[in-house]
Amino acid sequence: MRGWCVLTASALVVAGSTADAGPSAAFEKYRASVVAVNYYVETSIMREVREIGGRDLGLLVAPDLVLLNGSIVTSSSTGAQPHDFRVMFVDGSEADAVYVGRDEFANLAFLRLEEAVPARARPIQFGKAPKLRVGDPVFTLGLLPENLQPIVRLQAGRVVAAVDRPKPFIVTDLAVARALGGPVFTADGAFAGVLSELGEAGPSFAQSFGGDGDENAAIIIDAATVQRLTLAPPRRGQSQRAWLGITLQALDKDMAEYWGLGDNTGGIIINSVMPGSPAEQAGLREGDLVLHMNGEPVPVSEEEHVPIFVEQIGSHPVGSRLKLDVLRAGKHLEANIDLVAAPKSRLDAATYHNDEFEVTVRELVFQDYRSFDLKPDFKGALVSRVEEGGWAGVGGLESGDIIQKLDDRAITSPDDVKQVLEAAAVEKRKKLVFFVQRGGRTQFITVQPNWSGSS
Amino acid sequence: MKFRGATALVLMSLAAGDVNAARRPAPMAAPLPASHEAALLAAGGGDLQRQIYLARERVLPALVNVQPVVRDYSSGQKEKQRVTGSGVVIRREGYVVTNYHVAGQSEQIVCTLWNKERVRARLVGGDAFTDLAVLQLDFSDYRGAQPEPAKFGDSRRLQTGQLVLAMGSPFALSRSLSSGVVSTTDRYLSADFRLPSGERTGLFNTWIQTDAAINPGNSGGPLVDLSGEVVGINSRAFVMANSLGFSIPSTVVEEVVDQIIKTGRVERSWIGAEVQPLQELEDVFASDAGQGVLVSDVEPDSPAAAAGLRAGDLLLTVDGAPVSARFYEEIPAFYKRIADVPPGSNITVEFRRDGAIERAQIATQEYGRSNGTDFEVKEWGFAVRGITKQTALDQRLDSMEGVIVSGVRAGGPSEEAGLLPGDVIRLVDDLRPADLEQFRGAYQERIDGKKNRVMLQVRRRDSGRFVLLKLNPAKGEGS
Repeated sequence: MRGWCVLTASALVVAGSTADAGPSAAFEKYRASVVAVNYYVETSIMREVREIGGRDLGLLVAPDLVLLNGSIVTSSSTGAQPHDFRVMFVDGSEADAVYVGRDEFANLAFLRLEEAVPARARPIQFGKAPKLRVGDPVFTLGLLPENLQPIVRLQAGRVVAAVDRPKPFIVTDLAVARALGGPVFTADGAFAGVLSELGEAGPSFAQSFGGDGDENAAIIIDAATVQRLTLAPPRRGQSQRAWLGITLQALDKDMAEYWGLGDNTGGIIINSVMPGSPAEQAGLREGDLVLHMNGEPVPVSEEEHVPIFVEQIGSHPVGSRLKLDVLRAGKHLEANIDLVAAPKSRLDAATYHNDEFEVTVRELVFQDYRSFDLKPDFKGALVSRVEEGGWAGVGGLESGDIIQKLDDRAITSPDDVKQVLEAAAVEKRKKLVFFVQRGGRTQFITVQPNWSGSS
Repeated sequence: MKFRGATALVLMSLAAGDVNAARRPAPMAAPLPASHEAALLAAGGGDLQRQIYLARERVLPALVNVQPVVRDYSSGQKEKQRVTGSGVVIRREGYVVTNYHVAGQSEQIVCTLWNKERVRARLVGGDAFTDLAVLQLDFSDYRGAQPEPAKFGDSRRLQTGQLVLAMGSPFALSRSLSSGVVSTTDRYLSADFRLPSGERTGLFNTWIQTDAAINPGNSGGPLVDLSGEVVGINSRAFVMANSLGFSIPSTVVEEVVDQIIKTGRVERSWIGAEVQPLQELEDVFASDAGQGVLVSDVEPDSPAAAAGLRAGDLLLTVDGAPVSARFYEEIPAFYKRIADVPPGSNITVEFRRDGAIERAQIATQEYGRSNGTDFEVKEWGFAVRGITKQTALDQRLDSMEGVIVSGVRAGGPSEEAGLLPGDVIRLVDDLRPADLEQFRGAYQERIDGKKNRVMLQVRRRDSGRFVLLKLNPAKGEGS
């Protein structure tokens, strides 16, 4: 209730100044869309895993949707998902929210509210996006420290660069501290997009800038992207992004010359083809050069442009067909690829946690098959977290182990582990034998629960 | 193996980098009188003191300070580094045993004897798995007395608490002696504590742990009992710990030395089965009285796999003799039991699987070396290493084809092109080198042809990469 009083006071102040449009009016409009998001996240300090609380800015983009900077979702050093999201609105009231998903290219995450939005809170309005030029003033809202009301402050800055290559984006000098994910708007209140970091424009995009040491340069994720994602938020565990299943590099000028393509303007070199991928099914091989896609030249002639191409492929709808013009050993071939959804990522893998054994396992996803060099028919469940002093930890189980067998049960999913551990609890089993793969080699691990001891 | 606590412990192999210390005249005690016996008696101190003097006298004339020039390719070019270690003359004709990590990959070895005379030595052979190397002193320009070889003792008889002396050149301070006791006779150290050159070591032996002071430079020096026999070769220690030194037991040393003198190398058998301690699993695998060796992993395409062995099998006998490993400490002996069979011969194993006793014949293969031969690809600015069977297993490579990049020279054409250490070169232009020999051939051809563009295709972890080297043969780039 204390918050309410303060709010009333500030509303009175504002009432006097709404007559003229401008930053004050815009501030008033946008503060109703900004929320504080509280959550818990796992972190490991010196091998000890702890839950810590987090508080970041969120943006109400639809009556039931809150947008967040995507790095919050990936921030856990143990790879675990933040949880117990609680959203605080402009009027100090609160509501629970659940994680929906994250778009890796825009690095934006979404939460769905489980309760109705209070009357004073209002989702932002997507209007006609303003055309921003270098020098234009822009504004955003940042979170104030906890316990202060209202929860936000106005931040002013300017557009300082309009970058063309490798892809167009706007750079601003707006401060990013406690403001990432905030709405960027012009003096007359037009919504321009969401504040993000240059190093966080997307993992693949960020890589190409890696090492430049300019993580603090703020950029604006444009309004159209925000609106598109809001209309169809990415869903956890269900990728809607198409993929080819290759790793690739740029066909630069020297490479093109080496292969006798002197006047070439770019393309990509396939340097590996993942087993079971659409690319493999279409007959693509490592060493193939892709020069045209759907009849258009592939303008990738520098390594920095590769992420743009990857994003381009990702923007094709699942189920559509890509026509690639491929050069293999001097001969032109045509490859038709039916795009399917990219495999589930680690972040979206199903998990199971057992409190008694103090162990968390998760589903093996495609990425794991590649990084652990597993055969396609390999089955198991990955240990994602073990409490060092817990039963499993004392027995010698380590995170990164892949459980293949647990006692006599072949393990193919976290659910199998769940069933065995729960049965073991009922039977008060004295000993469990895990057959695991660790570092490419297998071994047996004995775990001895202490059912009578206090936990 | 894990350690916890405030201090980070690092197991270090103990060659000393600073050789200048050895060049400085070491502060020496007065020379020994001609009549040692009389001098020792005159020194007093009772029986124990006298025993120490006598033991010292038996080994000191065989003690050697070893200063090899070690080759290192990790910077992408052949670098020569002078190091200092220790050694002991152990056979007539000037055979010296030292550590593999001191002199196993070296050239221009200079040794300083107990009488401060310097003589050259040649490398006879080395064995990374036991971290041992054998040198032979070259007496052609030497006029002093021939060093009397020290005698090997029987390390199996060592007792925890037994007094021992460590002799060698800690921090290149030659002819240094320290004393202590055997802290434990059969310390197991994981083979993942690798040698500085990356090889796994200690697969076939446990270690003698001692609190006799062992410092960098002690490597290769003898651990001596009070009867003056060499019971171990000092090899490694935990740095930042107090008095935790480790020696290779003399029974292991003696065997390896004799093999190296005879053939220049140590031959071992490999079957591709990994085992683990049986403790806590006896009832699961129905072991009688805790006997047997539990197979934990079988390499695909290995002799063990061909014989049908698989994880969970409990080995009971090898060629009729019972085998057992309940504890980690017993595992090196089992691996050695297999390794000691002449490569290419058949062994018969009996094992228990699902309650039934089964039998299989395994045709062993040559174990082979950890690391392949190094080669500096000078004009292209990197160094490569051949891929052995053990390299492929260790690095989880899907084949032995190609060569592995061991270092990339800063500022060279390959660094600019994006080559990385660990890359496996599978293709040079359109040529697929099967091994180092073919890679060298492809390299030489391109040097002779003065090619200014060379395309390498590499495997890099779970993907690949095309790397275009831009060369300028006219300018002699890279040399």
